[in-house]
Amino acid sequence: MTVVQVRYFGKLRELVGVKNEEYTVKEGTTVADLLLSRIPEKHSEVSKTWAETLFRTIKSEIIRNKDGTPVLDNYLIMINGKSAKLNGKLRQGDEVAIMPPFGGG
Amino acid sequence: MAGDNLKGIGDKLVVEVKIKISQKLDSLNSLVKELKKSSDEIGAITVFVGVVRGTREKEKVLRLEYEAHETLAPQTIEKIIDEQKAKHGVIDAIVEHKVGSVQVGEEVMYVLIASKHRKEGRLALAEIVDQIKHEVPIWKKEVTEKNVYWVENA
Repeated sequence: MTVVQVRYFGKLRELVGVKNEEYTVKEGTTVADLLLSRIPEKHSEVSKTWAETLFRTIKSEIIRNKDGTPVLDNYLIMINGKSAKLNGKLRQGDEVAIMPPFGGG
Repeated sequence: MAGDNLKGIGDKLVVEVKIKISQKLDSLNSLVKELKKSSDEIGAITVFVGVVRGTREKEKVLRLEYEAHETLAPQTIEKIIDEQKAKHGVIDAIVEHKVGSVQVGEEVMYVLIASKHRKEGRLALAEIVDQIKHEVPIWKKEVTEKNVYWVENA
């Protein structure tokens, strides 16, 4: 099993109600699996809003790339401070930051 | 102490970029003084002061609430400044940005650029402010009399 830390910011932090969470996932779990399944399963009360906020959707259906990965709606996923691909596999100790569009200044 | 950041490189004295993201900004005067210490070649210090606006379209704004990624935000600002220093040949810079609750009329961000001449300072300042708004992991919630908005910089 692989243990990762997930950090939420801005409107997503408000949506799920926590800043950080630990997830234990099976080896080979991808970033997309985490975002599409594990997190919304844990926060089932807001899972519809989660999907519609994080991903591009048409009539609540998540739009996907040709390889099947979902299309983010201007959100940025960073793992250990570096931009992450959704089909990348999670590794032990990863810090996954889920970041809404920025609003500084 | 600004001197804590000084590093001697050959016969040049180089000051490391100062970036601060916290609940309190330093005084603008103290930052200008600090920046002036970085080189006797400085001929201009160009300053941007971001202020919390009291209106959102026709709604009265009560306050803004900022949060930032505590490590990635300063790292990204440092990278932006390094790029701009190389691009425009400015001497040094200081960026401070508030987090937490900020009231209408309060100052929320300082960007100071030290340069030999004003022209490159102005160019670098405009680009750095734009980049901070679009590339740095900082988030802003606008609380008005009627509603609450997460502001996304276009």
